Amino acid sequence: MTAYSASRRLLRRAAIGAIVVTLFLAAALRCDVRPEIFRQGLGQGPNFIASFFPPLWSAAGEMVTPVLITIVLATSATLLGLFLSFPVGLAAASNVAPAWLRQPVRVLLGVERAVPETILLLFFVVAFGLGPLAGVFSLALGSIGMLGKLLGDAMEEVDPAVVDSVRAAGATFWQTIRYGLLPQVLPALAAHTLFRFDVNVRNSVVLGAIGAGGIGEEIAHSMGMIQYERATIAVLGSLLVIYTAEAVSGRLRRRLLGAEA
Amino acid sequence: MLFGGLLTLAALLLYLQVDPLSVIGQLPHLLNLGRDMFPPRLAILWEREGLVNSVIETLAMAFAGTVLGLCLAFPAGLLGAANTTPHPALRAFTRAALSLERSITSFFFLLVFLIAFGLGPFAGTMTLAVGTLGLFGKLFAESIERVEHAPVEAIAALGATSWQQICFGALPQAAPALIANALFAFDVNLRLSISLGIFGAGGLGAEFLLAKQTLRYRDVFALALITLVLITTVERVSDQLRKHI
Repeated sequence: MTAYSASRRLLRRAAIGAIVVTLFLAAALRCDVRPEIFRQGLGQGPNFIASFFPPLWSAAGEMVTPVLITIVLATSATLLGLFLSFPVGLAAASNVAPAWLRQPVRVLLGVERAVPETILLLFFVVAFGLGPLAGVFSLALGSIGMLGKLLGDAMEEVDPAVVDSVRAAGATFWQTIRYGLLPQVLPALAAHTLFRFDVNVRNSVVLGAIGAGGIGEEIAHSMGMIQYERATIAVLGSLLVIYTAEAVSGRLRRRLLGAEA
Repeated sequence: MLFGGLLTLAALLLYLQVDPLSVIGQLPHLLNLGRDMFPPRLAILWEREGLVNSVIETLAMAFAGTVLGLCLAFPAGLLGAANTTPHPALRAFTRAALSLERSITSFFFLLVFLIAFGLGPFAGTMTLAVGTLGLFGKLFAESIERVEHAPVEAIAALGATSWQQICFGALPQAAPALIANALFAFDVNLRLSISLGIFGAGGLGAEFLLAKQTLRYRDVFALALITLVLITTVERVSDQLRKHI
């Protein structure tokens, strides 16, 4: 490396650093990040944190149903999303669907992935009212956005020889998909679905707070009512949901995909 | 297997007191909503004062939160990586703390910060910083653990201190992964900052909530389109930057 290119690299790094720092300062200013607010907040910190303890253990019983609702919501949304992503994935695969179908489907999937589930929920709450149904639909739609695309990609990567041999044996279109294509994409599908399940469980807690019900609603409600000791219990409930779901999906992953996954 | 899955789904929906068949009856609501939302009133971009400001606020929140969070995630990554941590117990502790932090839902942190620091984007920035620390502290630790040992040992053989081994042996190897992660963090935080707006952090999320509560559905649709353009553009730009680096 010559001295010239080394100094140019240094200059470039310094320029990038300066841009990042300037942007950060501008952004921080815009967001009212001021040391005195920070100091003031931290001054109250110890007292404030202490108000979350001890947890209101007597409220634990009230958390059982919300915990179950959150788990069921995430599970049914994953299942619904899995079923619906199947036709969508077929329509998004270049070796199955014609271009006039595939391209609009791919664009729609991209659009869908870009919109956060919380925004989707706002739409569904208007259509179906408050409650878990709106949550199931937003999470299912989010799952289709991800699983549909990944499934389409997985279908494009299958071994064409297997599909051809099934077709050559005289299989119809659907039989070719059932016996030639499907078995090849199942492992990828299982892996992505389990990953999406973890995502859905975390999201279902958040969606609960904006109208889908469940443990998220209990957290938001307790915080709003200034019952911080109860909020601690609700947060513990959400941790229970998330860790249980992760343990279950981890076990399924090892069972279905072997030790290496 | 398909049949069993459908049966399970129906049972789960029944537990949520959702009658799968009544859903079909509610589909007209969805069509009505679609009609109310169409056509999107893109004019809010120039007619509604402060909307552009909200977009900037969302972007600023995401950027400030990302930079703050990454500044915290970097030392956490060093503490949590087996090859740079001062003590294995400290590594285990860091890993456990980061995992706990990732699992606590982001809006709870936001509510806590809103009470401590007041309504507005500052609490949102802090929430994003905490979330970034949890997720990217772990990713940083993993990237640092993946570096090759030989260059680090070579520098150690020259008599470098452990700090020098980290700065000149391990970090240069991990740098590309760290930068890619940093760009990814901004993508994640942009989405999250819109969601947090619904809970009181301001920005685009607050605009969504307001438009929905005042039944301005054509504005909601326009906001969704603005969100779409914003997120897609940022994704494109960060893809380009990643390729460049």
